[in-house]
Amino acid sequence: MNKNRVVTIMNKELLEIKKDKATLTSLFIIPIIFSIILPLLIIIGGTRNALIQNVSGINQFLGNLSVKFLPNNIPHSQIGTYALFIYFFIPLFLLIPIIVSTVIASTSFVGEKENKTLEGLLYTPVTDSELILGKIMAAAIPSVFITWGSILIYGIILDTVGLTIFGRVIFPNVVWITVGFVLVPVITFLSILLVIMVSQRVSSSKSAQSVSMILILPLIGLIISQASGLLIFNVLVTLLLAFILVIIDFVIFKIVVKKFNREKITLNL
Amino acid sequence: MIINFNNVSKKINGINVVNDMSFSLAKGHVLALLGPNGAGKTTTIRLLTGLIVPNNGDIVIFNQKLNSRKVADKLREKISVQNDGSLYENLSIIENLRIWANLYNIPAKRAMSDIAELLDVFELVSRSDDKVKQLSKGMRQKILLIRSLLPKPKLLILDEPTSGLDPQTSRKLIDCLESYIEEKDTTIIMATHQLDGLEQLATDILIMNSGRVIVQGEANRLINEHWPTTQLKIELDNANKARDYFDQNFSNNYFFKNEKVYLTVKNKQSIPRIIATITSNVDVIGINKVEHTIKELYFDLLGKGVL
Repeated sequence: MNKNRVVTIMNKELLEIKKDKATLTSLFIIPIIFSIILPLLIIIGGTRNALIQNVSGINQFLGNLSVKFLPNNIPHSQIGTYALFIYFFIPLFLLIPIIVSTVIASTSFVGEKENKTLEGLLYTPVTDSELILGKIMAAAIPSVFITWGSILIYGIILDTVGLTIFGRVIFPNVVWITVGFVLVPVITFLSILLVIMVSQRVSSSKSAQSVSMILILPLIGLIISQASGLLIFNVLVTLLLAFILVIIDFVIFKIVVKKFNREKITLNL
Repeated sequence: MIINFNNVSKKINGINVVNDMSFSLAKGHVLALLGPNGAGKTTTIRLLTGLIVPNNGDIVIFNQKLNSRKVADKLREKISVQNDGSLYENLSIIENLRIWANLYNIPAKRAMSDIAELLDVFELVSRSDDKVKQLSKGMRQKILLIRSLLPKPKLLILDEPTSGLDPQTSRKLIDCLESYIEEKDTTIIMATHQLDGLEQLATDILIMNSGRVIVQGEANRLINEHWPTTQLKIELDNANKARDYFDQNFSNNYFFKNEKVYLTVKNKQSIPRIIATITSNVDVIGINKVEHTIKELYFDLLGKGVL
């Protein structure tokens, strides 16, 4: 594999994203909602306010959450809010890399088909694995960095504005660090691979996004389990999940490269 | 031979797009790939670059049989293709070209000087930072050509290279291609509908229709075989006065057109003697040998229903 060509494909994609203001803006909407708007609303309004009560599953989540996951050095009245911020929000932040990477990856592969630039690229010496890896990197890097940036902003809000209600700094903890540095990259990789798998069979980026979202449903199911308090992301669960996902990522990458069919893509069969 | 196509067939959606095609091309030659729309020219280019795989037959390029992805990947390092594919619209000219230079592993310093040189040849220096979407069709075509010339390939494949170009730029392109053949030993395959002046560059021609090769070989040989006799164009001072002379001496071997006589000579050795006889009997302004062109050959075959 030629690293220079992988980096070239990656840089090309990143340059295109940078110049596409509409796509670029859309990438930040969900992260801003999850990292700024929602935490501020909860801190200012408290968990009992009408808006938060309308967030589906919050009461069920608080009911199912075991007390062993809660610290004893924060005000008793804020236990629910703490649990919400530290556990309920983790799955939301796992949705960020999935959403961002799906948007980027679908516009990347299917976008090339739509704009008829892919055939030109296939005539160059770039190999299938170089092309796929370059495109994965180009979707993964912004997705992971946007998620990390969102987690950082979220943490800053919790530790500054939230200081008034918790009386101490509550973020980050080891679970968030593990989720951020281990789980986010492997989930991003998986989501991109699914989009690429789908992209070879569809002709529009919207179809690619829709189909890959269906494929990623099992992952979203896992996230909902956490959001309902039935499965809690502690370090062990996070690392175990990450390990399983790394294996799945590797297997799917090999399948995607093997199944990459220049003839089908060129002839649009 | 740089390319050997041996009985290659390709079926797409049940249709024989390329049917038992055989041809070869020597190093440094320029092949004009001709034929009406849907003849199979683009499929031939895709087969040559390993983008699609033949159902039957062998393709050998640079002495390597094109039979696996690995071989195709390696071969594409020596091949560059200009097709009607689009450029990256939101990126500038220079960004588009740098991406291509990097994909062919051209060192940055050399890439920049080659890009600058080619932008200068095609008069795009002042537009180099413009986004592609701001450019006209002709300018985009120039960038596609620069993009294909940049890697200095051993095999250059051009698909409708002069489409959208003004006559001056077409001229510059031909000059540029001639220098590539001379200095870099480049072999060129050029699929085109632009038949005028083709013989200036093309050494070989391949005319195909419905996926089949109709004629193939060196352009001069094919033209000479198609028109084995020599035709002389004689411009006369008074054509009507000369009519009787030609009737008596050359009977069925000549015709009048636009006040000129077109005389067919079967034996090339007799040409000087015939010219001497004519000039001593009628007032001649000038005599030229009629050079047949690839365009004439194409349309002659077309007229005979071969295509």
